[in-house]
Amino acid sequence: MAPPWLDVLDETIHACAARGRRDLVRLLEDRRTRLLDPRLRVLVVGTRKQGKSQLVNAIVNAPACVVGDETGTTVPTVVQHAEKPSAVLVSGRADRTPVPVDEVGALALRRPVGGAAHLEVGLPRTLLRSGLVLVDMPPLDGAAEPGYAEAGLDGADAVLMVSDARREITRTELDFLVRAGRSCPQVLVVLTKIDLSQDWRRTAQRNREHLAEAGLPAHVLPVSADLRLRAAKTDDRALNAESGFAELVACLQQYAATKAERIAPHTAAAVTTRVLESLAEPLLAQRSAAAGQLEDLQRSLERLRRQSARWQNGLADDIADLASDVEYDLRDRTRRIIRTVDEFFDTADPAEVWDAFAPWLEENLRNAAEANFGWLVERSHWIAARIARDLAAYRADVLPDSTFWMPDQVFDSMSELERPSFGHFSLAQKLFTGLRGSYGGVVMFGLLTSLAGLPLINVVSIGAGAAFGEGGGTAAHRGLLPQVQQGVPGRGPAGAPGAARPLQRPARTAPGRAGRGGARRPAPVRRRRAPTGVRGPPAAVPPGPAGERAGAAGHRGVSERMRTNHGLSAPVPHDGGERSEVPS
Amino acid sequence: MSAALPDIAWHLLTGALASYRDQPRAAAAVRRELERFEEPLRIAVAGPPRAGKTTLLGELAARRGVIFTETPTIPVPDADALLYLTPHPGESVAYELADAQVSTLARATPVDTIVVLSRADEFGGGRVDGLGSARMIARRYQRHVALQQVCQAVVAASARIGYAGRTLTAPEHAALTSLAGRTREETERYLLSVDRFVDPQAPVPVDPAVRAGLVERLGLPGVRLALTLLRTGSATRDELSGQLVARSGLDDLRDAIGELFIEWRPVLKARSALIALDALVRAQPHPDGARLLAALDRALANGHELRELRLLAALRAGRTRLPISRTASSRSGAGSRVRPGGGGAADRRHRPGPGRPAGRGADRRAGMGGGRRRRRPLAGARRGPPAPPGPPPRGRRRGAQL
Ligand SMILES: Nc1nc2c(ncn2[C@@H]2O[C@H](COP(=O)(O)OP(=O)(O)OP(=O)(O)O)[C@@H](O)[C@H]2O)c(=O)[nH]1
Ligand SMILES: Nc1nc2c(ncn2[C@@H]2O[C@H](COP(=O)(O)OP(=O)(O)O)[C@@H](O)[C@H]2O)c(=O)[nH]1
Ligand SMILES: [Mg+2]
Ligand SMILES: [Mg+2]
Repeated sequence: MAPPWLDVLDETIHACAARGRRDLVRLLEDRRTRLLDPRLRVLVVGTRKQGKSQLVNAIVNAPACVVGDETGTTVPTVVQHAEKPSAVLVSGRADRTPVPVDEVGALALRRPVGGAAHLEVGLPRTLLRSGLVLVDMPPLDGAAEPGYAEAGLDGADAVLMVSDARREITRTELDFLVRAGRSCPQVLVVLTKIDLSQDWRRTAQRNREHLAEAGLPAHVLPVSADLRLRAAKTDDRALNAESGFAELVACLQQYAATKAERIAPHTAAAVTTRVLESLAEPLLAQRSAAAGQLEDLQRSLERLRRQSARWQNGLADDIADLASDVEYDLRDRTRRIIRTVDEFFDTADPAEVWDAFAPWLEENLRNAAEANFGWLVERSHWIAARIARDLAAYRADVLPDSTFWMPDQVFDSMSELERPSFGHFSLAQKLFTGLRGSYGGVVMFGLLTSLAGLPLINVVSIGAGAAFGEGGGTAAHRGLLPQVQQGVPGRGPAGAPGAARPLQRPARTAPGRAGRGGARRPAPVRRRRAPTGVRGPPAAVPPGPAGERAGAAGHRGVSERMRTNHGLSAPVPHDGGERSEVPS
Repeated sequence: MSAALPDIAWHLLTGALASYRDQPRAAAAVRRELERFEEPLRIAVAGPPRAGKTTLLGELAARRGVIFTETPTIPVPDADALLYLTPHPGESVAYELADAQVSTLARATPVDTIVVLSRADEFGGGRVDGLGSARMIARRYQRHVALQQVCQAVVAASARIGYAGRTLTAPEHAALTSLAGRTREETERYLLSVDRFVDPQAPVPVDPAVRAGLVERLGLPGVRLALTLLRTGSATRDELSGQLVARSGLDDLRDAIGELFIEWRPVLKARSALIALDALVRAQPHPDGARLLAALDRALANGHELRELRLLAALRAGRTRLPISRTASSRSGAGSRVRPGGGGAADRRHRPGPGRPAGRGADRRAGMGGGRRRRRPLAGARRGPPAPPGPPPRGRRRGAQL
């Protein structure tokens, strides 16, 4: 019965074949053959001049490999069993050049081109008879092309890393071992030249720690090839024991004896894992491409989210400004009417003149409301345009026409002015109690249709309420008022000649300005920033109330003028000084 | 005859300074190069970890007009010359060095590098002749084509043996002497490994702790060498110390540094400046750039000093010989040695034999290099740099074949 690892290997080969990966099939079939081969192929690797070749020579007790301080090993040297000593330089499939076997240890071979060549040395040794094959490799960091040693790994059953005992194992060596473990998990680290080292015991211990940290379950064996060779020459058992080779040789023999049970399954597992990984690679690549797309999307979503947060904040700010400006304007207009009314009723009896008074009042109020509302509409367009410009994808035509326009008949629905029952209230009081509902209704009607959900409604209603002596708005709104009134020439209602000033004004200044500037919203007018990040001359300043306000009675033409203003897409330009104005 | 390289370099730099007038960064870089002309020669000591850089640096000591700096990696910015240490020589050293030259210009003029086969005592598997075999390998490498193309010389040196020899104490000498008093056969088995040498059970006439101290200082190969030297006639402490220093190769290295670097300070400075200017012009394009680059190329390609330096290296390596007639007619009579300064220098510096006592090393060091430097005001930048060390006689230069 085939061992389980062979089944796994064969299944993997089928899987590779099914996916058309002939390269992997070939690799696995090679590996399969090697693993079933009873010989144990050990790759001897390491950086320059660690004593790799000397180690191999000491194992077989013969000058099989080139040893020296100068050129060193240039071609892999395969040392294996033979009945008679032999040496052949193999440069190609059919290109086998015999080499005098006494000279192999002193060969000065040119560095092979393409790395195809290798030396085969056969020796009659008991140790090798069991099938042990030692491959002395050129140094990992030598002039040989990179990947030279890695290529050899696929044909190896075990790796023997040679490292000088006078120094600790290096990163380069550890990295190589990690890579090697993926095709050849049986790794042995040999510390050489312990005869020259004072603290090789400590070094060996440190190396074990380094290997453990790197996750490499490698054995560390300290040896001296020099002592071993000398011991062999002088037949000195004690010296041979000191050389540490007994353990190394026992280890290699054990590997060779247990290849089928221990090494083959391990190797098969490592190799199939690696192959399956490379089979899955395209899939993983696809997945990571998809993941990349998802990431891109998430990034742009995040960008949009940030942008929308920005425009929402901008809108909220603008609306708040608008609300307070509109509130003041409305207050101002109605107050002036009230003053006229008060003056009028100082001399006339309301009950007598009511029939004449009512249409006059109605018209004036209507005009005031229209003017105010018109201004509100215009400001809303200005705000919409400004916000839109801040958006990345702004084009002039994306602004919908449907932001809100003044409905033609909006004020027609205003309820008939109720004749108050003139009792113990002052007339004005009664009058506006009645009015409140209807004006509020008008505003609501106008706004609800287009701005549902925005705080504007509340604010405008409060504005209306405040003007009519009720509620009076929040402290925050009050705080704003004086600043609005300071106004800027030509913009706010405050600049209008003869404009009535609310009585509360001086009193309100104090809380509005109080201390903690940051907590309070600054004056809307001053705060008017030049829209940020806008190219070209922006419409920086919101329009003021349309038209000059003359006396309370002179409001008639306002609505006409206002309507023509609606044709302007750009708000009324303003003198430049203001845009850059900074609150002091 | 072409102008001297330092003059040309100075001229090009001041010209570049004018060209880059309105590019403050570039102008500052050019000014920096002009300043460097005046500074001591910077020699970087580089090489892989544990190559012995720090130890060697300690032995090279300070010299007037030279600054040594240790650095793990090449290329080394700001260095005028490089000592590249490698404990394991190989062709790959040539590739590493070629890669480390910062530009084509630099690569074409590899007069700034000396390769040091460091830890020479460890060569030959630590056998007694390790230092000797290292010296021979160095000599062979010097003739190796790949290495010729990247360096001026290959020198084997063991800073450990040099240091231990120079600072050999009386107790150390005494301990070594009593070990050497035993026959070779008696001591051999205790010299096979460090473990054996420091073994408390070993029946040798020296305290184990002292033995451990000796290995610590000299290494096992160093101990073997010292015993051999003591047995072959260098019996006194001074003699032993002198022999160890001489064999350490440090003198050879100092000689090479003196002859190939320090005496050519203005030329190496000029080379550094031209290479830096070349990089600057390529990085910061300028209308004058093409003209500058062409001038740079010409200066380095035709600069006779650089060719002389290469020739000097070839002569030191024994790769070439001067025609007899030319040598005979040469002014300085320096034999086969090219001297940047012509007369005088050669007789001052007679190359010592390997048996030269160590005690004189210091005097020799102090007398070396930088002697002919003239000061030049930097600010007045109109004048060129000082005349470089006088060129060797013309006839010799013509005979040069690289
Ligand atoms: N003292 C001592 N010297 C050793 C030992 N092993 C090797 N050497 C010496 O170290 C030097 C390099 O040995 P090699 O076996 O050629 O080293 P390598 O790793 O094969 O060298 P490259 O093939 O060039 O990478 C030689 O001088 C050997 O004599 C040892 O165990 N003890
Ligand atoms: N055998 C031998 N050891 C040396 C030599 N130079 C330095 N060392 C030792 O090598 C180790 C590293 O030397 P160090 O100068 O610090 O090398 P760096 O890392 O290149 O600076 C130290 O333990 C030194 O004592 C040398 O020439 N021969
Ligand atoms: Mg080798
Ligand atoms: Mg150091």
